[in-house]
Amino acid sequence: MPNPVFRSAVTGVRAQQLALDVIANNLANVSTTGYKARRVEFRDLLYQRLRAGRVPDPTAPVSPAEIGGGARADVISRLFSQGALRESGRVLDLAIAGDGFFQVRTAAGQIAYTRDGSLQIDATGRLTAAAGALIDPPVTLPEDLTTLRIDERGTIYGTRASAEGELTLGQLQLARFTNPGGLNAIGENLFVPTDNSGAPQTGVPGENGLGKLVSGFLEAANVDLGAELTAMIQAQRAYQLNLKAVQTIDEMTAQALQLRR
Amino acid sequence: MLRGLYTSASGMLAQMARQAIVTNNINNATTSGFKQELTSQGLFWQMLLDRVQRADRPAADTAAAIPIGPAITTAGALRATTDHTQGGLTDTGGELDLALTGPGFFAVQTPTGVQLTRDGSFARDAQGRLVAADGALVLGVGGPLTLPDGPVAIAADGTITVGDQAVGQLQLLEAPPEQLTRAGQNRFALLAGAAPVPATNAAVNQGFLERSNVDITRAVTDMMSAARAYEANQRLIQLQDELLGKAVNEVGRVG
Repeated sequence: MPNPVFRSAVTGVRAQQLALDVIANNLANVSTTGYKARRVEFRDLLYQRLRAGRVPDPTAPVSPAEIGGGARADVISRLFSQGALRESGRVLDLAIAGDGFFQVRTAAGQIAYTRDGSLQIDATGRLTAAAGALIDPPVTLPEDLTTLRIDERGTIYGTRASAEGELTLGQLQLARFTNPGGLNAIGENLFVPTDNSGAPQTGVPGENGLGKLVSGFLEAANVDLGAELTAMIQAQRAYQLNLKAVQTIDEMTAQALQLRR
Repeated sequence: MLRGLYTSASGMLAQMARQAIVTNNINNATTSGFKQELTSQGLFWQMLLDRVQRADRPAADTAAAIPIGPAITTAGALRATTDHTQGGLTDTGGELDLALTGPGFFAVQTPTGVQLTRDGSFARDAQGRLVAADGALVLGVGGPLTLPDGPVAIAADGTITVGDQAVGQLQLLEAPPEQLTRAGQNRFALLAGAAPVPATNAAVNQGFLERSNVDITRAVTDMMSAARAYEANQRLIQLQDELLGKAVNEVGRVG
């Protein structure tokens, strides 16, 4: 169908479809630890200025119509606002209160970043984060631990059956980005940096603008259920409305085709 | 009779163009900072019709066109104005989501010059500069703004403070609607000769975005009315076609 109006009407339907997809994904992750909600932003497309017709009266007001090409859902930004801290009671559950990410190395050797601090100890005593990715730089805990605690600066303390007193066992680091919205999500709660996010700046928790660690807590998703449901209703209605526009233009085109019966 | 055919056909074209504008409004009913375009109807101008250009003259030579005379057409007479009324504010909580209340625009630097926008969904880029979604630099009073790391506070007059450090002030501009043209990306470009002035009555609201000011009820009614007017013009063409057919085939027929 060569009718450009038809095409521009469909852009609106497509944009709202993307909005619904993003909302559905936010709702599906409402209880995912450290999940950050995403948002669709709409942009209008290019305009074509209609040539004003020749009018006998040159003083007549001229305000030429501009015909738009529709809309598109352009940017999906992540809102990196703090999620609520939920108590879990596990020492190795770490929530980041403030800015920053845990730096991990995935099984494939890729450096990635996550706010999901439900750490585990693997078979060889190394600390792992989401999806079994190793904490980077690596931290290895001895086997005969009797107690373990992690302070807000990320220092890991523990007592061993084989040694007297509390020992310092390791130090956790955090990384932050100038533009965390530019990070690319690769699934499993992991992000990788892009040209848009800037390079990671690593440091000790609580210093240089990095958040503090809270042991025994996990960060809940920052999805606002009420806001998402409202956005879903709005997107559904907008979707319907855009479809109605497509349908109307279709009917008009059918009439043009009936001109010669 | 033939002129009537042209008038009806131009009516169909005008209604389709009107439908395109209404559709664009509907497409952008959820676009931040979008301003709806309103079409005006009811004024059918007398247009001058020109005969086809003489082949031996260049197309741009308007003197080469030989006028036929006036006719009532509507296609070239479609007028539209941008409705610059305030859109509602949505609380997003985003630190760099900015909404304007009152007349005025944010200024952004694009490859084709300074453009104006009411869509304040800004971000920091990798170098810490304040940018729009497509990476265009947001302009402060003295040029692009670079924000150091830290919590950002933006006052109603656009003054930006990061931590305790004053960083600059957003450039807020105002220009009359006839100096603006729609540029896509939720922006308005300045027409040649436009002279924007600093906005005096605009206030910046941090943590909010301005919603589209598209009036859905109006858009749906306009859509229905354009479709019906299109249909009416189509019927008129058919009617005139039938009358012409009768005139050609039946007038003067005996028996």
